[in-house]
Amino acid sequence: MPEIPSIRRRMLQVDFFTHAHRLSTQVNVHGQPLSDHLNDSRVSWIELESAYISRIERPGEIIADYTLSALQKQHIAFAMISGSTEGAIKKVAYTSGFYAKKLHQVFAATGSFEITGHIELMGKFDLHTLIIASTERFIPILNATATISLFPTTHFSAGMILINKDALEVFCIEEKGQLAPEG
Amino acid sequence: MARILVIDDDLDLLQMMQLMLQRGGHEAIVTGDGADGIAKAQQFHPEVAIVDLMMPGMNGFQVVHKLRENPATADISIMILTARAQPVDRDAALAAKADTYMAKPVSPSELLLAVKELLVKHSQATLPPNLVLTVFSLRGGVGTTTVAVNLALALQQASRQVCLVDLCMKSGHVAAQMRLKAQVTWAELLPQVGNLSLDGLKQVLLRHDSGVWVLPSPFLPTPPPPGEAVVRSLGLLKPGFGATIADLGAFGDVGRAALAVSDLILTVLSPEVASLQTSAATLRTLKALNVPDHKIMLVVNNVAPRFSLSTAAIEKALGRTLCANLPYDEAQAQALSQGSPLMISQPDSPLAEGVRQLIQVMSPARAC
Repeated sequence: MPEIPSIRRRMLQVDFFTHAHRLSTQVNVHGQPLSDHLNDSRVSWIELESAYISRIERPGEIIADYTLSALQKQHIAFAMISGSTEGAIKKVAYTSGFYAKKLHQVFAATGSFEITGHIELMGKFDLHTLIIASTERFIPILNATATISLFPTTHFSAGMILINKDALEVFCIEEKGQLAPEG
Repeated sequence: MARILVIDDDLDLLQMMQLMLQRGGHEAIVTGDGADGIAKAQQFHPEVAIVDLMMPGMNGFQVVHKLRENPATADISIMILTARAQPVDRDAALAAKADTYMAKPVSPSELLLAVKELLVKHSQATLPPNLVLTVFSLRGGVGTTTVAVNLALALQQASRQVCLVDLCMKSGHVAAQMRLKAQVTWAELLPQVGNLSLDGLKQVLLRHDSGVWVLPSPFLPTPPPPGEAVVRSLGLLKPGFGATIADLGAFGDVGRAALAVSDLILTVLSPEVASLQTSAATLRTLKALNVPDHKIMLVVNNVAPRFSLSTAAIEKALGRTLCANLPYDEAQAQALSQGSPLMISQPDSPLAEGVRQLIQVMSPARAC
């Protein structure tokens, strides 16, 4: 028998992290990937359903829960996708040769978190385009681990984290990447 | 079959879990609300409660707290099943006094196995904290060692520290079944047991990968130790382990000594006339030794797939109820040859399941 699938196909289970809180919630992605919602510069807020809130220094304890919430995007440090990442970002068809996807190891630091993982890039590597020129505010980091800087024994891991460029203080990347697996 | 309460506000998931648990042979009571879940726990006294964390109104932590603070529901085994899948969430769940934690999504087989392990823990919670258990038969070839080994592993998996003592006088098979190489055996230890401490004894015991400690028997036939040395050694081991299991190969002084200090005595027989005859003699012998009836548990071990006596026939012949009927398992032959007990190599096998069910009926207060 297969695993229990998510019945609510347009709802994505996401943990949003601000500098002080963790919000476990569901986002109705309305048929668009989560990254599109987050990168939509016309809208400053994102609406959440069934938010369960924890303080960052005790991230396992639930201090409050609400059916409806709104989160200001500029205060999101990163969004962690729990479980399946389907619906998180747009999928790009695999291409080969010059446009082959490569995985580059990254390290990023926001005010409260250190994040490691891999970023998937296509074509020629260009840090300027990635960080400065690109209009996309949230960068997907794959196979990511986030550590609370003040409590380095506390980690969060996920298949994908969408990190807010506006929250970044430091961004480091390995120039040489490895070919990404097909798919 | 167990009664399992599921509390989750995701009604679709709730329905699926109810189906899965019913297919696993359990009775499932479901609710989408924490407060109603607490009321149902008081009303139905389930053995296990599966609780979601993120629920509106009353979250899973609050539900667990309420269940634990009420004496009527405090002993329910609780599994937290949640989409919050980080290590901190596991720590928080266990700190809130849940028994176990699983992250969603979970497959039916994972869920049912976790429930099985919880049921074993739940049932063996009624056993004394430091149990001495003897497994024996007056007739060889009925799988006594197989029962003892798999029972030891099942109790160890249920978080009870176990020591398995092979008291067979003629080349016992505990070490072989567990693929352990005997170095120090009871032949070397028992003569000096009066000078040993528990820590000293532990330094020479074998330790299986599962965590079970083993005192093996000598390879060559050895004169039996005096009964008082057996009593002293089991008495030394008892406070140090949640369960000390003696695989008793024969009777005599050693057997009488082990039986005298045992909290439970599993008498193993196979469903055939000769074994039945031996078991009847065994029961008469135990009665003559003034072994209390409530300590004795009859366990049928089907060592072959051939036609065998029915449970009803055995019970009628012996005048008492069977506590367990372990099914024939064709995988056991391979387990023996590879030194890999089924409780580890095939935890879903019929024999492993039978042993877990045996634990569920083991209790000094629940005489079979």
